[in-house]
Amino acid sequence: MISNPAKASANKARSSDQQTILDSGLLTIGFNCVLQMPTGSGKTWLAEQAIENVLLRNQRAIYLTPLRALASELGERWHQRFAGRTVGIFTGDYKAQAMSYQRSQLLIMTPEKLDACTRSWRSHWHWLPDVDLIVVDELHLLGDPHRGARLEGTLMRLIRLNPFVRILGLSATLGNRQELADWLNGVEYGSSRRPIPLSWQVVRYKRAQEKPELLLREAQRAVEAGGQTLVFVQSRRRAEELANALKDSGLRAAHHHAGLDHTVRKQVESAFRSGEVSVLVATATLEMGLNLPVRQVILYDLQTFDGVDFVPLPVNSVWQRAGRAGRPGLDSSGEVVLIAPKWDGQVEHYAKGQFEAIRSGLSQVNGLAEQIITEVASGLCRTQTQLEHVFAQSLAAKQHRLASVSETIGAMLQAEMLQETEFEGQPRLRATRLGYVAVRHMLSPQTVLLFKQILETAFLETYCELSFLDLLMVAASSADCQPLIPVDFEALEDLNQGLAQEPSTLLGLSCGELVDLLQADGKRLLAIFHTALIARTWTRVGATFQVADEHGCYAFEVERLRESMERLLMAMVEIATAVAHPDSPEPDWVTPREKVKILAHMVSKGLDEQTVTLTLVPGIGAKMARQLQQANIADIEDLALAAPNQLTDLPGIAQKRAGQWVEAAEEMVDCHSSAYRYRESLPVGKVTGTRWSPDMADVDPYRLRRALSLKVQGQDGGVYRITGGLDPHRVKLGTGQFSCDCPDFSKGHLCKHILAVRLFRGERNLEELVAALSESGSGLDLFQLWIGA
Amino acid sequence: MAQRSLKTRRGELSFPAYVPVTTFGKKYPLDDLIRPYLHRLAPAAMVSYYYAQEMSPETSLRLPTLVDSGGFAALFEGSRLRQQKGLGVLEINRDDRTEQLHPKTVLEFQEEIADVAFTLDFPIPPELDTKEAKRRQRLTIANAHWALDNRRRRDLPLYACVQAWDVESARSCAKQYANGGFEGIAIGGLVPRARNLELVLGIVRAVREEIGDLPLHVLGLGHPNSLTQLFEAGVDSVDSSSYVRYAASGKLWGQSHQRIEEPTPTDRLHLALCNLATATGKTLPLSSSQMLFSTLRMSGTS
Amino acid sequence: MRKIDCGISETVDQASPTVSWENLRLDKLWLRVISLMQSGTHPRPVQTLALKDRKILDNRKHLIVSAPTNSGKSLIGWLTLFQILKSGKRAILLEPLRALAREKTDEIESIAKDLGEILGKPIKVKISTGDYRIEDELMGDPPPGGELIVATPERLEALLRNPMNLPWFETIGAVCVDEAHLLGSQRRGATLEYLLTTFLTMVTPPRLVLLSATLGGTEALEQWLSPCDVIRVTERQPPLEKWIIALEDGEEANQVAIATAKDILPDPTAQLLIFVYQTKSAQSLAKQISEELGVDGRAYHAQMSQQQRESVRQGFLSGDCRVMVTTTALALGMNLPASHVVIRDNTFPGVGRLGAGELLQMMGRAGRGERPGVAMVMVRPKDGWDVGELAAALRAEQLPELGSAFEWQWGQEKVPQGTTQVAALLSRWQVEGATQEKLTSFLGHSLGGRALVGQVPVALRWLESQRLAYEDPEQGTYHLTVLGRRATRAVLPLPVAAGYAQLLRDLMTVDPQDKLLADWKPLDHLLVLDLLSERSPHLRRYSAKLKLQVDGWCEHYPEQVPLLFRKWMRGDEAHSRTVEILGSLGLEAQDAGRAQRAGYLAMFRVMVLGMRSQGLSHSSISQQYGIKGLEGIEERWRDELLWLLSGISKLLEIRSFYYHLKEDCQADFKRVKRVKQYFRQIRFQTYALQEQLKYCSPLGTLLGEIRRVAPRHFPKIGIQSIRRLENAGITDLKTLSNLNTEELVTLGIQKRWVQQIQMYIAQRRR
Repeated sequence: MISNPAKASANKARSSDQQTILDSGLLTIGFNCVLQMPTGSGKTWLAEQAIENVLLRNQRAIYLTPLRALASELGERWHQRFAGRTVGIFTGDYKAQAMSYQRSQLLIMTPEKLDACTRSWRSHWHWLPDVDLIVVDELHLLGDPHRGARLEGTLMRLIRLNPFVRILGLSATLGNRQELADWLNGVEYGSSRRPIPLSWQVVRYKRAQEKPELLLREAQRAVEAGGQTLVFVQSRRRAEELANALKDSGLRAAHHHAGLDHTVRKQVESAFRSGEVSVLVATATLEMGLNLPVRQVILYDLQTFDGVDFVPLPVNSVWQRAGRAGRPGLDSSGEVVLIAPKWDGQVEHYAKGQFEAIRSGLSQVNGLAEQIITEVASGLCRTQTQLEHVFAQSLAAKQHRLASVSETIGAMLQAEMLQETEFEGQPRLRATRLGYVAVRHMLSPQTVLLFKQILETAFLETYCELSFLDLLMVAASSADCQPLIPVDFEALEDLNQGLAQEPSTLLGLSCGELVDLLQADGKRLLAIFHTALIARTWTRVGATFQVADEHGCYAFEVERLRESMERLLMAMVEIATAVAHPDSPEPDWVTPREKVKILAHMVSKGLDEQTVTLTLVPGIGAKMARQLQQANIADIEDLALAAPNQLTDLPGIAQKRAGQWVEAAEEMVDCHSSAYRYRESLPVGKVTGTRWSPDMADVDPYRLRRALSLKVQGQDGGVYRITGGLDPHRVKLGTGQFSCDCPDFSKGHLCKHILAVRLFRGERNLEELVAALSESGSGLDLFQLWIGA
Repeated sequence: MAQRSLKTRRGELSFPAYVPVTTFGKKYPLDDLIRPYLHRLAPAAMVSYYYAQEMSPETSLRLPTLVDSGGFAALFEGSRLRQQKGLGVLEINRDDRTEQLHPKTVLEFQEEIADVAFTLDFPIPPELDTKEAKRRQRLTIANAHWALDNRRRRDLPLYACVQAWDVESARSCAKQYANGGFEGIAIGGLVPRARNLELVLGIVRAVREEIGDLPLHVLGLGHPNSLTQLFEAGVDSVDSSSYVRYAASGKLWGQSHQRIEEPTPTDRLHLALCNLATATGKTLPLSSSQMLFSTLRMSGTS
Repeated sequence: MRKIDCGISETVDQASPTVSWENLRLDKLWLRVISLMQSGTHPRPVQTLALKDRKILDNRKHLIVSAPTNSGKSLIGWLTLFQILKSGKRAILLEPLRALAREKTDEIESIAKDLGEILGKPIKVKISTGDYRIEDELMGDPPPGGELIVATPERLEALLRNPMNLPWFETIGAVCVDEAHLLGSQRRGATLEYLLTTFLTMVTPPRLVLLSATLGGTEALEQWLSPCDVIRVTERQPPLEKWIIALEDGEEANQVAIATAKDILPDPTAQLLIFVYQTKSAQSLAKQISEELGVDGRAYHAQMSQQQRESVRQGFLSGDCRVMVTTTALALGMNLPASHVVIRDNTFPGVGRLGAGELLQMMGRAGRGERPGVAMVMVRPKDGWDVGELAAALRAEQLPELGSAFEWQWGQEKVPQGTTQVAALLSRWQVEGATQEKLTSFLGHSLGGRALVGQVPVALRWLESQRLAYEDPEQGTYHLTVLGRRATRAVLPLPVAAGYAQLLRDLMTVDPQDKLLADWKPLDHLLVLDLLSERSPHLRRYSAKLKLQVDGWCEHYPEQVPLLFRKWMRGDEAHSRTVEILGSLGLEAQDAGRAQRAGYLAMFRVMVLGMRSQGLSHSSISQQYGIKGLEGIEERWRDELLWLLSGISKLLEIRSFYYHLKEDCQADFKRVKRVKQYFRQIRFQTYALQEQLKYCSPLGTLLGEIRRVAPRHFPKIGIQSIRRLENAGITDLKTLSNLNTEELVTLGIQKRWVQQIQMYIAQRRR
C-alpha cells in the first residue's frame, strides 16, 4: 500500500521552498502550475507528492520525461514508492515489454508516446479520461526546435480531451515562467534558492592548448578536497580524449555520452555514484535528468554545435549543467568552473542566470502544419474556424508568434495533405492518405512531401531508378531522421571512397540538383551521405559494433539509426503506394514501392539485398537467413537449388521444414522473385576529389579549406579574433609575421587561422588557390561541400 | 431532516439527485465522449432499456446505473399493448420485426445490468381516451406488483412507476404502491405535460402524500428551470438528457442566447460537462472551466 | 403377528379425467414438449397446480415442489429447465447419485433432437459426475460443454473450487435439484446447501427448482429462497394402504416376510419390494424367497457392481423378477414400479429407529400407475417404535421438517464442521484471498447460516494448524498454502491430505538423506490411504493366521513390501511401532496392541489390492485368504482408492513441501533438487498404480497409455484385449513389442486394437 507522505519525506529534510509549496496547496488545488526551481532542489520529490495525492484518490497520473533512461530509473524508484499501485513505463522503447495503459495508475511516458496516444485518442478512450494529473518534467522542452511543437500540440490536445487533467510543469531554467503559467491558465512558483549555493569562477587561458592543464588542475583540486567533478565538453571525441588524458595523469576518470549504449552508460553512472570514478567527462547528454550531485562542475567548452555552426552556449544549458554542483550535506557551496579564453568578456553574464525565454515551436510553419494535419486526421477539427479557435489557445498565439493557420492550411491543401469536402453544405477538411501517413508515423509534413516528390519523379521518369543508397539518403535528408551522424573533416576521404563504390543515381546529379532535391547543403548534406552510408553498411554487415568502428561512430547510434530508418522507410512505402502509378509496370521492373519495401526489410533485419530474399520464404527469419548464408545458401535461388539434407545439417532445421522451404523457394523463383531481382546494376556515383596544384608547398590544402570555414572577427591592434572552429583563436600580426595561439601553429605549421586571416586580408595568390580548389570536375566534391563554397 | 438517500450495489445515491441520461451505440456519439466523466459530476446515470442492450463490460458505467423499462415504446407507431395472463405486454415493430416487451424480459435484463430498476409502465399521452388510459394504468400497476414479486436479485432496488392522466388518477395509482414493499416510486409520462407545470407539481404532491417517506423519482423531467420546484414539491430525483441536447447545439445553460460556432467534438464535450455540473451543483476544475469560457468568449454570438 | 391398518393416503379430488393438458392454458410450445415427453397422459394434481394455478412458466421465482414419489414432480423440473434453455442459458439438473444421473441423461438424450427443434435451439445433453467409469472425467476437470447438464452436487462443488470456472457459472440460468430433501442429510446435505448458497449469492441468481419428497414445514426454506413459490401436494396418486405388521415374541422376521410375500404373489401383476437393513440379510432373504416360493427373488444392494445392479433392475422392470430385496440405503432414487412394499427393519442396531418420514418415504415406493399401493412396516417387540405410536405417526403422515445439514451436531468428526466449505471458498477466492468477514458473510447466507458462521474461526485455525492455509497479516486475508490449494482442487478429504502431508514432512525431518523417500513403494500409497480412509472394507478379523499370511506374503514379495510396513509396522506388538505412523497421520492414539493389529489389517487389505492390481482374480484371492464377498465390495473399494490416489498424486510435488524443507529442515539447494527428483518418482508410482488398479492388470499402465495416445473420439482398446494378453502370459511391454501383427491376432485381439498397440509401441521406440 502507499506509504504516507510524512513517512516518505521523513528520510529527507524538506527545503523551505518545498514546505511553502506544500502549505500553499499549489500541488493539490485545481490549478495548473508551473514550478521553476534549481536543479537538485527537490522538484521530483514535489512531483511525487502531487502524484501520490492523485493515486490516493484512485485516479491516474502521467509523468512526462524526455529521457528514456530517466523513465526506467524513475520506474524502478516509484515501483517501490507506490507499491500496490501499477506503474507503467511507455517510452516506445521496442525492447520494453508491452504494458497495459488501462492497468497502469501511474504512467511514465516520453512526450512522443503520449503524442501518439492523443493522436489516436479514440482507441485510448478507455483510460485517457481517468487521468487527473500530468507532470511535465523539463518543461523548457517546449522551446526545443525538434520536440517543442509536438509537446505543445500534445498538451493542448490532452487538456481538450480531458478537461479534468491538471498540468504540473517542472523546470530549472525558464525565462518566461509567468507567461507559460498564463498560457495554462495556471499559477506559478519560482525560486532560485538552492540547497547549496553555486560559486562561479572563470578560469582563463591564453592559448587553447592550455585548456587540458587547466582542467587537470581544477579537477585535481576538487578531488583532493574529497569531491567529484563533472566536466561538460562539446563533442564525444573530446570527452573520450580528455577522459583518457586525465586517466594518464592519475585521476580516476571516465567519459559519458549518448554514443554509449544503455548498459555501459548505467555502469559509468553507478561507478561515478559509488565514487570509483572521481571525474566524469560528459557531453550534453547529462545536462538533463540524471541526479548526480558533485562538488564541482567544469564547463570545458562554452560553445556548442547547433547543426550548422559553433555558437555560444545558451544560459539555460549552462545552468542545467552547472546545477549539478554541490552535494547536500557535504559541500557548503557548489563550484562551477568556466574555462574561457582570456579575451572573452561575455562569459561573465552566465553567472547572472538570466534564462532565455521559451519560444513556442508553433511559430514555425512546419511545426504548425504537422499539428494542423494531426488535428484534422484525429477528427478533433473539421473546419478552418475550428482550427483557428484551437490554435488561438496555443503558446505561440499567446506570444503573438503563431504562424498563419489559414496560410498553412492552404499550403497543406496545395500539397495534397489535406483536402476539402462538402458536408451538409459546409466545407469540411479531411486528411488525405498522405496526411494520414504523416500523422500515423509522426512525421513532419515536409518529410512526407520530400518523399512524395522524390518518389513521384522516380515514377514519372522510370529511367531514373533509385539505388538503395539513394533511398537511404532521401530518408536521411528528412527532418525526422534521428540521429543524423555528422562527418569529421578527417573522415571526408573515407566517406569519399565509401560513396565512390556505391551504385547511385543521385550522386550522379550535379551538386546543385542534389542540393535542391534533398533540400540540404554543406555539412548537413555530408552528414546525410555519411548517415546513409552507415545505414547501407548495416544492411551488409548486420552487426552494430562492426558498423560502428568501420564508420567511426557508436554502436548505440547505429541501433537508433536502424529504428529511425525503419520507421521512415515504412512510411515511404505507404507514400509510394499513395502515389503509385496507375498502369502497372512489367513484372521484372522493380517498382520503387517494392524496392523501398525490401529495403525497409533489409534495414530492420540487417540483411543485404541478396540474403534478404531468403526471408521472403515463410518461416525464415533474419537469424535463420544469416545461418543459411553461412552455409553458402546466400539467396532464394541457392535455396531453390539446395537439397533439403543440405539444410538439415544446420542446427534446428527438421527434414520437414527444409523440404517446405525449398519447395516454397522454387515456386517463388518461378514467379520472378529471383535473388538478382534486387541486385543493383546502376553506375556508381561520380564523387571526385580535387586535383591539387603543387605550386604552393607551404599552404596545405586541407588547412586552406578549413580556413575558408572560419570567421574573422576583424582586428584591433593587429590582433584578429577567429571563431567558427572548435575554439576561438587569436592571430597576431607583428612585423609581417603571423602568430597564432592554436596548438597547430605551435607545432610549427601554417595554421588554418593564419590562412583565414590572410584570406580575410585578401591575398591574391591565396584566392587563386581557392579558385583552383573550387573549380571541381562534374559531380560532387565533398571538400567543396565542407567548405560550403 | 436527515440526508435522504438510496442504497445501491454501487454505493449510496443521495438526494436530491439530478441523474443524467446516457445512451450506448452509434446514435449519439457525443455520449461516448461524456460517459467516462459522468462519475465525476453525477451521482448516478440513467440508461433506457432500449439503449442498455448495447452496453458492454468495457463501456459499462462506473456509477449507479438506473435502467428504465423501455415502456415509452408504447408511444411508437405500430406498437401494441396486449394483456397476457393479467400482465401488460408490449409488442413493438422495430424495422419490420416484432419484439415483445414482457415484464419478465425487462426484469431479467435489469437484474443483470441495473443498480436501480423501474417496472414496465405504459405512458398515457394527454389526448388518450379514459378507457384506454384506465387500461394502461391497470396494466402498469399489475406489472409493478409482478416485478416486485419476481425479483430474484436481492440488492436491486425496484421503483414502481406511476402513470396517470390527472392528479386524482395519480393519487389512486400511488395508493396501490404505497405499502407494497417497493424501494421507490417513479412518476412517468410527464414529459408531454411539462408545459403545464401546475399539473405536474400537483401530481407530484399528490403522489408524495400517498407514499410517505419513500424515494420519489420523476422520469424525463430535468430542465433547470423546473428543477427546484420539483424538488420542493417532494421529488428526490429526476433524470434528463437536456444537458447534452443543449451541448450538441453548442449551447450553455443559462447563456442560451450564446452559442459556439462550428463547435468541435471537444467543445461539445466541455459544454455538456458544464451543463451537467450546473445541474448537479458540482464544479469543474478551475483551469479547464477557464479554458472553456475562453472558448465561449472566442465564439461569435448568434 | 397382527396387522394394524394405518389408513389410506388418498388423493382428495381424483384428478378428474376431464382435465387435459389443453386446459392448463399453456403456450403451444409447451404442449408440444409435454406430448413429446409423455403423450397420452393427463396432468397430475401437482402439475395442474404448478402450471395452471401458479403459472410457474410465466413467473421467475424460485420453486419448491414437495410431493410424494410418482406424483409427476420431475416433469415440472424439466419444463423449467427447458424454458431456460429456450432463453439461451445453461440448465442444470442435480442428481444425488451417479446412477440416477445416468438414468436422467439417457431419458433426455433420447428426445434431445426433437426437443431442440421445438425449442428452436440445438440441445446438447452432458452428464458430469466426475466418475471415470461413466464419462472418463475427473473431479478436477474443467466444466463440461453442452446446454443441459446432469450433474452431482459434489462435481459442481468441485468446479467451484477453481476460479477459472466461475465465468462458466455465470452462464447458468436454472438449476433443478432432485431429491432436494437431502439438504437435511448428514452426508450429502452440506455440499448441496453450500452449492445453493453460492447460486443465491451470485449477481444474477439462476432460478432454483427444488424437487423434494413431501416435507413438513418449509417456512425456513421459503425464507431462504425468497422470492419463492411452494407447490405442495401431500395426497398420493395412486392411493396407498399403510399397514403395520406387529410381531410377537419369538416370531422370526424373515418367515413373516416370506409369508406376506406368499399372500401377495398369487396376483400375477403384483411385485414386491422388501427393505432390509444389511446387505448380508438382503442376499440371504432373497435366496430364501426364491427357494421357498419358487419365484425369481433377487437382492439389490450397494455392494453389487454396476452391471450386477443394472441387470436386477431390468429384471424387475420386465416383471421376470417378482421380489426384490434391497437395503434401506438404496430406498432413495429407487424408481421401481412395485405394487407392494415391506419394510423389515425399522430400527438399526447402534443407529436407532428410522423417522416416520423416512419410513413413509420408503412405503411411498408402493403403487403403480392408477393401481393403489400397499405398504407394510414390520415392528418387533424390541424395536425402537411402539406399535401404537408408529401407527399414529403413519396415519397422521407426520412429515419430516427440513433443516440445514449444518445444524446437525455430531461429535466424532476429524475435521471441525464447515472446514471443507471454508477451504473450498479460499480455493475459489485464491487470487484475492478472503478475510474472516468475507467468509462469514458468505456462509451467513446459507440455510444453516448461524450455526456455520460460528465455525469459521475454528475452521481457519484447523486449516492453519494443518498447514493447509495461512493468514496474510498485512491484508488480514486468508489464503490456501500450495498444499491446501492442491488438496482442495483435487477434492481430497482434508484429513487425508493433511495426514498424508504430515507423514511426508515427518519423514523428511527425521531423514536428511531422504533415503526413506528414495525407497518409498507404490503400495505405501495404498497403505497410508487405507489407514486414513474411513471406508476401508472389513475383509477379515485380525488373527495370528492373518499375521502369518501377511508376513508370509511380505517374505515372498520383498520388493513390493511398503516401506512404512517394513520399517515401522511389521512384527508383533512388542516390536511394531505402528503407533508412530498413526500419530503422524493424525489418527487418534491407540494402545500399541490395537495399533499393531490395525496395521496388519490394513497391510492385509493392501496386499489384496496389490494382488488384484497384478491381475489375480477375486476368486483365487478369496479362496487363498478366505475372504467373503470380495467381488461385491471390491469395485467400490477400488473406485474410492483410485479417486484418492489421483488426488494424492496432485500433492506429491516439491512446492507443496518447499516451505517445510527450507524453513524446518534448512534444506540446501542440493537437497531440494534431490527431493524434487524423488517426488517425481513417487508421483509416477501413483499414476502406474492407478492404471493397474483401474484395469486390475500389470498391463494396466500400458493399457492406460495406449488409450491415451490413441486418436481421440475413436473407440479405444479395452480390458478384454489386455486379459487375452495376460492369459497368453504377456505381462510387460518388452515381450509385447516382440510380437508381430499375426501373432497378436492369433491371440484373439481385433485388428484395430492391434494397430493401436503397435502405434503406441512405435511411439515408445522413438
